[in-house]
Order: sequence, then C-alpha cells, then structure tokens
Amino acid sequence: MALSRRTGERPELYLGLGILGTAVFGYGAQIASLVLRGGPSGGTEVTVTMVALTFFGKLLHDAGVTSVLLFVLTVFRRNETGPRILFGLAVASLWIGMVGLGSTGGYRDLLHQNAFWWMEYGVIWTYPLWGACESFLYYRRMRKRARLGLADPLVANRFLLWGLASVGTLTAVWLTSWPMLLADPAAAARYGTFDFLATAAVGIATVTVYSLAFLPPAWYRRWLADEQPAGEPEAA
Amino acid sequence: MAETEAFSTVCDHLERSTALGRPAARGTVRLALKEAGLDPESVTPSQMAIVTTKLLRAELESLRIADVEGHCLSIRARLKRLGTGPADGEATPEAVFERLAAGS
Repeated sequence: MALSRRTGERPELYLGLGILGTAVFGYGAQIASLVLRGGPSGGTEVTVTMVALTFFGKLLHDAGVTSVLLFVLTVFRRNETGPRILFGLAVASLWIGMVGLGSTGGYRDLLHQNAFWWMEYGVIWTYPLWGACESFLYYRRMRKRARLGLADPLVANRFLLWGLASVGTLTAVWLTSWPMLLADPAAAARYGTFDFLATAAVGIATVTVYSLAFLPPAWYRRWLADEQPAGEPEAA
Repeated sequence: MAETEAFSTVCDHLERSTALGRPAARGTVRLALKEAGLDPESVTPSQMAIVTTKLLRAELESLRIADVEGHCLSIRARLKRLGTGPADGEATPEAVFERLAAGS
C-alpha cells in the first residue's frame, strides 16, 4: 500500500488491501470471535460482541477477497470480457452469500449452513486458484523470456513464488474449512488440533514464500542470477 | 487485442521481401514469439529485435529463405525506427511484479 502511494498505481493497492483484509483484519476479527465463543460449536451464550466480531471479520475478509480478485483481473486480464464476467459472478456470489447468511442467523450460529453459506464459501474456497493459475502460466512465459535475456530472472521467479503462495492460501483455507462440512460438531472438534497445526505450518510456509517474492534477500537474488544461463540483457 | 506495430512491421517485411505469403509470414513470426514467451498483442520493438536475432533468423533459415542475414538487419533497422513503442508501458504483469519488490 505504501508502494501504491508512491507510484499511484492500483494493482499494488488491491494486493495490499487484499492481504490486510483477508489475512490480517478479516481472519483476526473472526478468530477473536471464535476464541470468545470457545470454538465453532461454542458452549457459551452468544453475545452482541461475538456477533459483531463475526460480522466485521466477514466484511473485512470478503472485501479482501474482492481486492485480491481485482488484483488478478487488473494485472493478468485487463480489458478482457470473459474474466470480467467471471469476476462479477464471483463477487456477486460472495457478497450476496455474506449478506444473506447474516440475515438468516449465520453470524450468531457459526455452523448454520444454507444456500447463502454455500454462495459465500464457494468463492472463498476457490478464489486463490485463479491467481495461482494465472501466475504459473505467466511464469512459463517469463522463463522463456529470461532465457533470451528478455526478462529479469528475479521477476520471472516472482510469478512462480506468487503462484505457490496462492496455493498455500488455498490449502490453508481448505484446512480450516473442511471440518465445517462434517455434520457432527463433536466430530469436527476432534480434528481441531490437527487443523490448527497444519494451518499454522502452511501459513508459515506461505509467508516465507511471500517474503522471498516481495523482499528477496541478497543470497536468493545471487542464487537466481547464478541459475540463469547468460543472455543478452539489453531488452530486459 | 490488436497486434502491435512491431509485429506488423516484421510480418510486412517478410511478406513483401521474401517468397512467404501473408499466412506463412505471420505464422513464422508468431512461432518465434511463442518460443520467446511473447505474443503479437504486446511485443515491443526492442523485444521483437532480440527475437529476430535469436529465433526468427533460425526459423527463416529452416525455411531456406535467401539472404537471412540481410533480412534480419533490415528488420532490426525498421524496428529501431519505431522507438520503444506504446507496448513498453507499465500495464503488463511483468511491470507490476517488477514494481512489487522495487523497494527491497
């Protein structure tokens, strides 16, 4: 977001808002609500604070998801009709689901599943796939360019890393969400510890990949430069 | 998206100065671009010049085109006159991802 202030460009703003909305504030507020409740199935009486935290958590998270999708659309598929329609459908499903779930008691009862729940979670479970696919496809092209000296190997590698980080996000979302599909809350609770550890491990790996992508240390830059066969740097 | 002037310039040259017809000329240039990870809708003159030297030359030789070296020189000279071109702008995924770690 600081970069966006300097450059005045939107993609970095969308990415910054996306990361803040989903990973920082969105999940932060929802986790706080879960902690207060004592888990998804709870046991304590649901208070206004818990409901408010769930609401604001979902609001920020879904705003973050929208920003990430905007980033992917703007960077990889600018001015293309099909992807714009896909973006519109995904965002509509996400927000209709979020609002509809709240109005049918979904912020009070976290295990409440209906059509709105599926509309919202259908998007949450799949949105990182789009960015991952676009990034991997572009990485293939960038590798070819880098071999000819038409692209910086460090930038080419950044597409691979961002794709891997998107897969990490997807894995973390699936790991935390799949117990919600179990009909029995007690059965879901049994997987709690495994889920927390697995999600934390994936989260740490994803953050490491992000840091290599956006804050590459000197040794990583050197390693990439050594890996690259000599090409003509004039166009890059 | 429309093809860039750099792509059209090379195709025009091959079409007019060699025995290749329009589809063959365009197909040959497209193949070279694909091998370089580029596409006709966004290739810049400077990128096209390198593709000409490193890939198109070999493509033309495999097609037994006469005076390949002369054609390459002529194409590069025409590309140079185009300057950097509008496709050298900052809207490409590559430009965005380059900026994302610019402060590091």
